[in-house]
Amino acid sequence: MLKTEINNTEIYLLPERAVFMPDSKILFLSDLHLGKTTAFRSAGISVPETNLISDLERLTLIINSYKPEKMIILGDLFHARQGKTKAVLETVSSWRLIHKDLEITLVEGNHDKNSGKLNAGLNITTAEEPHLIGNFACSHYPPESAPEKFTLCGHIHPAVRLYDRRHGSAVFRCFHLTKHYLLLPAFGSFTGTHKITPAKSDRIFVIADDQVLEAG
Amino acid sequence: MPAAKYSHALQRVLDWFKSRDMEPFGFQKRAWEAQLKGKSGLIHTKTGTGKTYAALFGPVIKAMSAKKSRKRGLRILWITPLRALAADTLKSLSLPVKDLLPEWEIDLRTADVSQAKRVKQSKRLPEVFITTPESLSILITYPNFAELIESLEAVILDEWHELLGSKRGVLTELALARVKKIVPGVSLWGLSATLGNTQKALEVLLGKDSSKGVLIGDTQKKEVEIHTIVPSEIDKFPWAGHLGIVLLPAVLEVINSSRSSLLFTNTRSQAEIWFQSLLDADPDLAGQTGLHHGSIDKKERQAVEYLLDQGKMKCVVCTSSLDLGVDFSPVDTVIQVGSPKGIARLLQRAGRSGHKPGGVSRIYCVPTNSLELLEFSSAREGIKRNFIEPRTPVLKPLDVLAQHAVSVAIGSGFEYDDFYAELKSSHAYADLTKAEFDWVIDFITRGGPTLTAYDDFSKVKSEGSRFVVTDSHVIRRHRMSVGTITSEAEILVKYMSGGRVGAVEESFVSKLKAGDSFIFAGKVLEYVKLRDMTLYVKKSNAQGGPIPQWMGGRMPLSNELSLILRERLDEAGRGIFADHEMKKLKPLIDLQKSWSAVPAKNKILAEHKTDREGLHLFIYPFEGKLVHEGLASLVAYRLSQYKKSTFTLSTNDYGFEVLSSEIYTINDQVLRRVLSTENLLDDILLILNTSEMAKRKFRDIARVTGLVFQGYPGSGKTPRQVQASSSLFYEVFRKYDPENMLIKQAVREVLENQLEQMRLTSTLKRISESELQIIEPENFSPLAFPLLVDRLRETLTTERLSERVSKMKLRLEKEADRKPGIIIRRKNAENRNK
Repeated sequence: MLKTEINNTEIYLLPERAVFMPDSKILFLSDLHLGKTTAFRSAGISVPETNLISDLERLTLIINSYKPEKMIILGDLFHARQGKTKAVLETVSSWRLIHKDLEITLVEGNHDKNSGKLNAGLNITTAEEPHLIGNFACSHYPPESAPEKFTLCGHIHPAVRLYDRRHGSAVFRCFHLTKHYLLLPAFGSFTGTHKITPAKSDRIFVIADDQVLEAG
Repeated sequence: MPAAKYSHALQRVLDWFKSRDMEPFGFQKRAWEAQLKGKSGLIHTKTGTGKTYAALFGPVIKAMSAKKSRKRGLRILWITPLRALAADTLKSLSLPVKDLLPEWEIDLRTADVSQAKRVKQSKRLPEVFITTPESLSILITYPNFAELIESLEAVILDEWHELLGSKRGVLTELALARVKKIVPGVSLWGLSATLGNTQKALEVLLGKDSSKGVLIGDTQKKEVEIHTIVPSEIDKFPWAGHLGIVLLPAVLEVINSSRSSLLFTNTRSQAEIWFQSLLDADPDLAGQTGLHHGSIDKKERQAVEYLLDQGKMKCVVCTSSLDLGVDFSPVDTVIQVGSPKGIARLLQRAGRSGHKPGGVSRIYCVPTNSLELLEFSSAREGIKRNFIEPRTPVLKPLDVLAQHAVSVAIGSGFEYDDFYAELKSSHAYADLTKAEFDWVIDFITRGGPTLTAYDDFSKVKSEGSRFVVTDSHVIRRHRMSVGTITSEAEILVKYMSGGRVGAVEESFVSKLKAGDSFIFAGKVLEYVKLRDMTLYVKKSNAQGGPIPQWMGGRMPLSNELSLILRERLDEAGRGIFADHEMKKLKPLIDLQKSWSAVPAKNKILAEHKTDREGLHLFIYPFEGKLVHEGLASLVAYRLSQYKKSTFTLSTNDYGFEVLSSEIYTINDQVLRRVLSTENLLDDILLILNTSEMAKRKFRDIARVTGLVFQGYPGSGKTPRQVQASSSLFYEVFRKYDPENMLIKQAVREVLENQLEQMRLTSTLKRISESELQIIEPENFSPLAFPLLVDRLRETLTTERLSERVSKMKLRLEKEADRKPGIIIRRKNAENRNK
């Protein structure tokens, strides 16, 4: 875990691919893509779907450690309509029951808009972007121009390649901090990455195993 | 000679030959005789000696002798490895077929054939049908496949040596097993160039029936002349930089004194560079010089081939794209730029010239770095000793099996026991276990671990004991992705005004932006826009630009060639310089000797040197790049057992460099230990867990099994919600389905193909029996230099990512450091657009 400050607010960047604000007790995460492997399976592509359970378990671990009161999902909770099978919905619902007191808001992303309505039983509020909360705006897409409020966002699944002549190179999922927004890594384990090109003034925090480290 | 019932037809065939001023060769007649006796077999001769007619006339004579009024339908199935060859084959088969069996139809089918024709072909096939392994696989997905081929007499596998040793070969084996099951009496004939293991090639072709097969070879010798264009002065630091262009004047002289020549390069980028350079150097060549490689659009390639055949081309710059196929009789000279890396390949290419019975094949070798002189000298010696490389067949790839099983399930469907027996009749799957077969069946019917027993997975369904596919989406998607040829995602290049130029790799295009110019297909093009996997371009007025580079395809030095190469070096170290190539190398060898040592036959040279980058360890086994990649990883891994470290590895055909961030003591005892054969397999498996090698192999496997589906360039997008990269599949399988056999296959493929495990083991054994010569030179030696400057380095680490990352200067890799290929500028740009 790495502590830093944005917008005069302390935040924790978690190696489990989420952001926690200790003062307001809000947990932010993005791009879970639940049911993605199931959507693949229904198209006849053999892929194990057990990652759904482990992703939810990882989320439970974070919730148990940081005890957030509120969770904001920055889009792409479910991957596709084809992936919202009975088995997937039952798994997610029973996970929700364990954390029934947690308030969850979903800022709808492109995949959510094509996945059909959320089941009422999941008890998740949906919101359009930008969803304002205190000093911050929450949206799925990174803002294209300077936003009114500092924005937390997702969608991109950011990663960078680090290189060192002596230690070789490797690709890392990362948090990308600019003057205007903080871009979160994709939370889901069956998600691809997109290599970003940060500007000179940007800050990059890479996830290496169970640590978050700042790249220079 | 054949039975009396064939004598009349045979006479007509002989007359036909005579009417064209030809006479059948001995081996051709022997082949016909065997065919008429109903046998199967393999015809192997040097390039361009009449294999096609050796295979064609047996079934033709048979048909001519049969009573008329037989049912229409397929009689001869001709399988060719390259789409591009199908049209040429059609041309050369049509001639005698039209004359001798005018009632027969002859046609082809490849991925390029129109939809209307395909529909016609799905009802009835012509008597002679030319196709590729992939198109044959698609035919298998038709429910009436058995009816389509029931009248089949013979299957001819053209250029069988090209298919052998690849997964496409395995796909062909499976298709043949299917064909034999439907038409038990069919005869199979393979046509092959000279191989080191023709007997094996026959066994692979015929599977369990191989004992009845016959080998027919050509005894006539073809003369080969091998010349090397030797630079006047050699570079003492041999690194692949100048690409042989300094020898351009001498190459031009050869071109100008020949009637028509083929100039082979080892990569497509090199072909582009040579084409530009030739035109720059001699503007008179414009209009009579062509460029031919696999990424250039078919139409343009065909135009070049046509002009070549008509004798209107002075020179065609090409890659392996012209290795195979019809011979261009005007060609009297072949030029090989860079090492052929194998003796068989040099022979094959040389054979593209002097293509007349009794003609002399002439090849000029052009070194692209000074050490290649050593390789040319060794290759010539190899040809003298008739030391031809074998091709090793691929065994039991489960990805190909999974694909084929779905094809059959879509077509006629299959019964569990029958299908298992059918698979086992092929060479590739003769040892297929029930457990492996069951895993594949499970993979295509159940699709791996699931959340619950009730699950939406749908691909192959079992109806009683029959396995079938009914879902039309699955069928369509499968047909689109049939085949095993895999490549990088390609972007189609098209003119704004219409007309295709060819295809380049996505990674190249990603480094360009609108308005940039680049050189491709011998033209300077300007990037206009990129839409749906198509790059639209227009002609550019720029003077130059980057040339696309294509991944892969680099052949390692063959075992046979390495052996001779080590002998040559050993001699040179003892002051014996066998030929003029070796004599030219003397200054370099002297320098190597004075700074370090020349590797002797019974010794293994190791050099080490520590500088601010860390410890550089160089070892020179001269066993080819692949083996060195395995060795380098092994040495790095075992060194890390002393102390954890991160290594970057660099390899070439002569040796490898291990650069370590930690400093180790290097002595005989340490090197013996890191190069020992003990625990070899265990150590390698551990390495594979930490390296990217298996993940990279999995890329192909994911495509073959249809996990990853990229469609065809220009054919539009696939549904976004079911797209994922092969590495994502790899990670998720490793984590959530560790028993997945496709992952195990990726590991096996790395062991067998990538690391050449057998050769690796024998290399380590040779090292253990040799004296280690350990030198700490003051300067990096000439042999070390090319390894040192190689930018494409592998990383191997035993440190955790977080340990490593804490030591790394966390530097973002700058895109600017990664140039989009080689940039060239043209001198005589104005001559080009004439």
